[in-house]
Amino acid sequence: MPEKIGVYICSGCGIGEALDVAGLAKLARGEFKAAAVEIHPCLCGADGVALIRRDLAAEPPRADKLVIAACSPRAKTDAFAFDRRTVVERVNLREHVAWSQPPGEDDTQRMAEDYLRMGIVKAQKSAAPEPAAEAVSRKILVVGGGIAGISAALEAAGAGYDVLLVEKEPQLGGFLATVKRRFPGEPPYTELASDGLKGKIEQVLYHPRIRVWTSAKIVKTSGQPGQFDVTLETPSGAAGDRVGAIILATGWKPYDATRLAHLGYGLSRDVVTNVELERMAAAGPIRRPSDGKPVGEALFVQCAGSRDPDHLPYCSSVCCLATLKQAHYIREGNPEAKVFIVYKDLRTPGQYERFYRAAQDDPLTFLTKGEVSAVVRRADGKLGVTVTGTPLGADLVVNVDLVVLAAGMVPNSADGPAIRELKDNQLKVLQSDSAAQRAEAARRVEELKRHEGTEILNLDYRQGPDLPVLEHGFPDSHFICFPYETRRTGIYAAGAVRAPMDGARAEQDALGAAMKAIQAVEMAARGEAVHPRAGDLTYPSFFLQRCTQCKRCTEECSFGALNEDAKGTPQFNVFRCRRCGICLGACPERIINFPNYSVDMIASMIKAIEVPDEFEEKPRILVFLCENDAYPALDIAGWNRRRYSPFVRVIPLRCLGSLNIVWIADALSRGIDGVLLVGCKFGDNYQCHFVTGSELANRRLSNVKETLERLRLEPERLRLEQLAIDEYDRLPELIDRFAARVGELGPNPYKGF
Amino acid sequence: MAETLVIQPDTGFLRELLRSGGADLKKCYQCATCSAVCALSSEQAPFPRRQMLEAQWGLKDRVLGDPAIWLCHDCGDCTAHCPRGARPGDVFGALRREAIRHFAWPAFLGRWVNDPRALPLLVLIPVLLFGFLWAFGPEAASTHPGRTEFANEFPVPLLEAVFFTISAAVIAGFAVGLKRSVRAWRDRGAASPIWPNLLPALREIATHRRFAQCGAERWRYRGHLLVMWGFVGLAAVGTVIGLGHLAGAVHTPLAQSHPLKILANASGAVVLFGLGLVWAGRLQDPARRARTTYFDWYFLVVLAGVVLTGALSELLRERQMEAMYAVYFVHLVLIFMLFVSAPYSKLAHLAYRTAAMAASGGRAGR
Amino acid sequence: MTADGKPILVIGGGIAGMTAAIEAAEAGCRVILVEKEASLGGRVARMNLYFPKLCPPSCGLEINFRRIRNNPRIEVLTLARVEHLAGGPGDYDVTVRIAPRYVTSACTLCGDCARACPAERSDEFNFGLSKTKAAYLPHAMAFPALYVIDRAACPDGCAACREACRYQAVDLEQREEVRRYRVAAVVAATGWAPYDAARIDNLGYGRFPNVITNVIMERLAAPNGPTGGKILRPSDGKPPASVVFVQCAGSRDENHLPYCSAVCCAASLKQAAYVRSLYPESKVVIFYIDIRTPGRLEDFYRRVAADGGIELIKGKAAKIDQDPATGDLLVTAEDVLHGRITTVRAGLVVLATGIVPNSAGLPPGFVRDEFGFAMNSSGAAGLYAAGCVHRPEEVSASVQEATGAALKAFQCVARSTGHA
Repeated sequence: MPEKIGVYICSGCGIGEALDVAGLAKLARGEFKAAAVEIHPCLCGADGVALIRRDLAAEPPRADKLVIAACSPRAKTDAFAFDRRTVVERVNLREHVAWSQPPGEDDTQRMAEDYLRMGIVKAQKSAAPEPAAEAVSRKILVVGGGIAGISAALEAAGAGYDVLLVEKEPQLGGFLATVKRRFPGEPPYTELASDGLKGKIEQVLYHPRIRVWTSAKIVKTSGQPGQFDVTLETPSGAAGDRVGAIILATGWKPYDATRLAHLGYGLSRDVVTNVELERMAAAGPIRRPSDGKPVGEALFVQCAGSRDPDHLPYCSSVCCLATLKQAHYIREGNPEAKVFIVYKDLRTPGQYERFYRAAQDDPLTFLTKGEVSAVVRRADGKLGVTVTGTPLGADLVVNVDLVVLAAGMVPNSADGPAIRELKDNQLKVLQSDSAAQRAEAARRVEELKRHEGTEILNLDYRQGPDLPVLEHGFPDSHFICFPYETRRTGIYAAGAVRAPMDGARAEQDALGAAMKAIQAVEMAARGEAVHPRAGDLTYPSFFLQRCTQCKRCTEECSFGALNEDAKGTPQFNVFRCRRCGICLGACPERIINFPNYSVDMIASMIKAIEVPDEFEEKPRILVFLCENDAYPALDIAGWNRRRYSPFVRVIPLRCLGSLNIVWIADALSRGIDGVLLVGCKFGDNYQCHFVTGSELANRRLSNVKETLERLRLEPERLRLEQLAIDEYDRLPELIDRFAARVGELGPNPYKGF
Repeated sequence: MAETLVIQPDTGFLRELLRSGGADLKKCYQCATCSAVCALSSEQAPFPRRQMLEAQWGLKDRVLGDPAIWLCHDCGDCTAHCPRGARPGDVFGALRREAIRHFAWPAFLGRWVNDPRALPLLVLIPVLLFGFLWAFGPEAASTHPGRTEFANEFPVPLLEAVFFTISAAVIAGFAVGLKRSVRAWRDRGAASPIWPNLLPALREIATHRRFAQCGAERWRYRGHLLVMWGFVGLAAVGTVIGLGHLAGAVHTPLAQSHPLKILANASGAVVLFGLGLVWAGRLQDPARRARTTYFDWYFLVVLAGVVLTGALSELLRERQMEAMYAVYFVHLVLIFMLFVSAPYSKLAHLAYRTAAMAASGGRAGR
Repeated sequence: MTADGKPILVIGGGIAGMTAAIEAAEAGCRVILVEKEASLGGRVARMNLYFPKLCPPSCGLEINFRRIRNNPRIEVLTLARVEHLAGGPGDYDVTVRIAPRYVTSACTLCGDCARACPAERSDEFNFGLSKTKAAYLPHAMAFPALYVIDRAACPDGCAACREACRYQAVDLEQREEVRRYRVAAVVAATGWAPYDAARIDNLGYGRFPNVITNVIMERLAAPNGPTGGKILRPSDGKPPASVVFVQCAGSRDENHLPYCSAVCCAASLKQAAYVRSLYPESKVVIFYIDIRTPGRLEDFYRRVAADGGIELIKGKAAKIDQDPATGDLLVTAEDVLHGRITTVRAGLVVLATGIVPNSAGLPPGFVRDEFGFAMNSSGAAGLYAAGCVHRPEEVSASVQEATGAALKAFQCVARSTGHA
């Protein structure tokens, strides 16, 4: 049955005043033979919507694809929400034309006409999505049996989900199982809490929904959210299971104290780390390791390694609290013992401030800001500690029996991409034919050797066997508003492996990670994409017969959605996919397409733009906008009635990374005079929701510019701008500046060919 | 290059501070709000922030040897603004008491005067002394037969003998205490020469110019000013009469119209009024401002007692009532207590603070 | 799996509440999101940039608004307050009172009402530093994208907006509405309010025009703020040559807020960066007790402190006087590490005021600690607090907590439907 396109034009909100809507209707009927064309003064109003529903419901339907030429697709979504089987294309005549262009002008009308053409073509090229309907496992895999892992397992099970808990040690509990007491968790926040972990461990061990593997490790994890196949190596042999999502709660390890010689570690057995002291405290009364004598004076050195660019550049967040706690151990063990604490900044955020104040109240606990500059062994067997930069206006020498180094936290993480690169280079060392390449590869191998054998999840992903890490080895989210955002869909880090945190925080963190894991399987079960395109049912299809195994798609996908077979042919995993279209942009063969977002579709939209002849001196400028940030910014510019060049034609992209350079070629060969790309900021503090999208677009653009020069076209006809969503005042200026530059360049010589 | 301290906290000293006066000392987290709000603190050597840390750490010699503890007038501004409730004002009060005790000579008097348990002793000694003198002392040759006169109870020369002796002892006590204290300041490198700076210091004391800047408590500065001047007046009158009598130039009893008598009565009145102000101030809202310890009360009560009994006995004498003898007896006992305890009680601050102000270049504040 | 269960109730439409609602809804729950203001976004909508990335909150808000728009399971109620709550885990009976907006969902955002409106009102979105018409849109990216009419600011009998609206979206007869719901669990994400700086008598807020608070600083720095993103002195509208930040203005203070508000250090470092990038010639001094930048925020601290134009002095600013001639401020503190009193002349002083939990109006059942923070440890099952009403914390931690609270609520639904 031939599709029937219904075009519904709204004349409200100033559109009618600015444009000749009848002319637009005529265009829809004429050029496109639209099955139904209606004009309505308030399309989003009850009877406007009724009009559309009537056409949909008619027998036979008057229209099965809708082009709604009215306001921005960001507006009135409820009014124009029809069933998901119906293709609905919104043409933004309001924000992008009527509110940003002078009314009644010929150029304004032409702009509207082009947008209508582009919209209709887009609708023609769109198909309703077929949701991915596959059987999914709702079981959650929790890796790590410390406080975070235990909590995640219990909470997920408590929500009705089966859990597989894998711990590498013979018993559960992790670090917290070794501590004597925990930080205050309840008002008045002054009393140390007795460890509440044992009860939780019991619950886990006897929970009907939780299967626990101790002394076990993961040898392979293949598949995708809803369908992860995990292979375990356990004392009772190999074991396998299918899970829907994974929580990485592998915790932390203490910083290697042997690197703290400058603070006296190794100088004497009486210099210990806070972790060692915790063990001593848990074992019994704290005594001097060297001779077992009681501790008369002890000195704690804060930030031992932490907040130190040569060691751990970050703050380990818990050491101040741990020290106040351990000072209490020593004091309660010996009422005459003196405890000195030397800190950079005393960090007890929130209600923990109360604990600090209470700890201060102890008469023989002595705190000061300062830097420990030397620790020496004295003839009398004591340790002499020199402290500089104190608020006493003097340097201090304190002679003590015990020095405790508040050493920091190091995440038990594995850097997936780094491991992958290590393996690639190890291969190159063997296989590369050029000596230079082999040497370079060998150098990289050296740099990356420390990652050897650090694998945890052993993911069967092209991008590497584990989560990527951010600074300092934490596989944390890069996004402040989305702390659980992950680059491996369905795999979430929780607890101290994600960021330095105390036990209470880790418990809290595990809750959130469990929620995300559950959400991931539930959305997979519905065939929906997860954040940021939450609920999107579309996904790309690959026409592999024409694939040249160039591997661009598999390499550029930020989320590792694509594996490769031996030949390098991409193997798509729909539930890993975030539907950003970066692969679509990467593919030179144009074989990767979404049902409602394809290379051909955008190309056709470009072709739909009417390009005047050069002597008309009306340039045409194509603007590709990131639909997440730049597009809303242009909407708001419209709402503020900001004017900009009438010669621009905007095409929103799912992500600037989905830009396929073919479109630029198409545009220029059509005689379009310039192409502007506006996407999110990239670099260290990138704002691209798909990690590398705008950066990739930039790289592709620079490649095109070279070709351009060969074609004797000025590279300035192409430009990429980075824009944050709140820079909506800057966007019109930026468009006009580019339009002016293109004006100076003169018409595209390929016009009319 | 900063000096280097070998840290050995004096836990006895620390516990004593915590026990009496400085209970909240350890709460200080060195934000230095106190130094910034203090009107008397100096640009280059601010207090009380650093002294708080030294006290927290039990660095006894260092903190007691710091003249800054004497520059504080205990107005309570720091205590009112302290975000931690560490009450630096109270801590400084305790530090001053500890300093007086620490430098006191003879040491046992330093202990007695500041220990409530020793109070009966401090009362008993003068009672016994004057009781003895009254009972067995040389019979007062009744200069005024049939009249109720002080001299009938104790002959003037006898009292002179007693009080000049005590004065000598008191001066010695002050001298030794001060000497020790000043040496401590010097050891700490925290003192400029005293004599050249004495004049400006005395000027400040006479006018209370800086004390007047202490934001919170006008009553303290006014009261203190009155008490001080009244006290000076009484001291002057006492000395003049005493010496004059010795020289035979003055003959008691003086007529009410006599300038010395007028000055004496006026000074007494001023002291009483001043004390009233101070007292009232201390009673209102003690939590927010300065807490009052035995150390404070001892001085306030004895001084008030001296003046009141003095005035009363004078009144009774005018009325020629026998009760006068009893009151006069108490009066003498109190004067004795005031005198003897002077170098060890709060009264000692008149010497220490004067010296400290001089030692700090005659100036405190900005 | 839980779609068939009762909905959950989320109180508060700030970043925490929005997150709890969205995460639960995307996992399959139905959610009722109750916000007392006219639009979602709460505190973060009023911020210029987030630390440490220095990225605009509107970026994440836009994504979250889209997630809400595209999710039929979420029902958003604005200008709404939870009035009554009864029942227990799995089955609560809740009453919500919705104040009239006087604008219906027919509003198209065309703005004719505001153009026609003769009356003005103080714009609380900008802490009263600017004015809007009585018919107004809270801010450019407001969600729901509907105008509001502040009847209190309307002249008697005025109906200019109604006449101006071509879509019959203005309904001046609109009445307060009361709705009842049965819900399985409640998440309280009512957020926080800045501590009243006027109560800190020695810092001059309210007496000296150029002493402002950190929340006002965010508005002054924001492109959509009263000064269009220029940081200008309230007294004379001139750019400040020097700016002093006073840390712990109220926090860590037994006379005010005994706890540490946890975010003020990073916030001031961020605002110092605003000033320096806007006015490269300017000088910034930060007076602090301890700089508290846990975890990776330490990198941010190091980066900002490396700027030669920013000086960090350990010592709490405790005395602020005004130079009446210039409106400049003289900030006095002890430089603790050098043991001397320092007085800095500042064109603008920013008080890093702390976080006070908005917990007063929480329904019965929520337990509060001595500072007013809602506690989860001893609260009734089925009632959970997340974000700054639970503990003073930065945005990412609030979101993290809110996601966890969503699971606790999700569990109640699952249990009530026999799935768990």
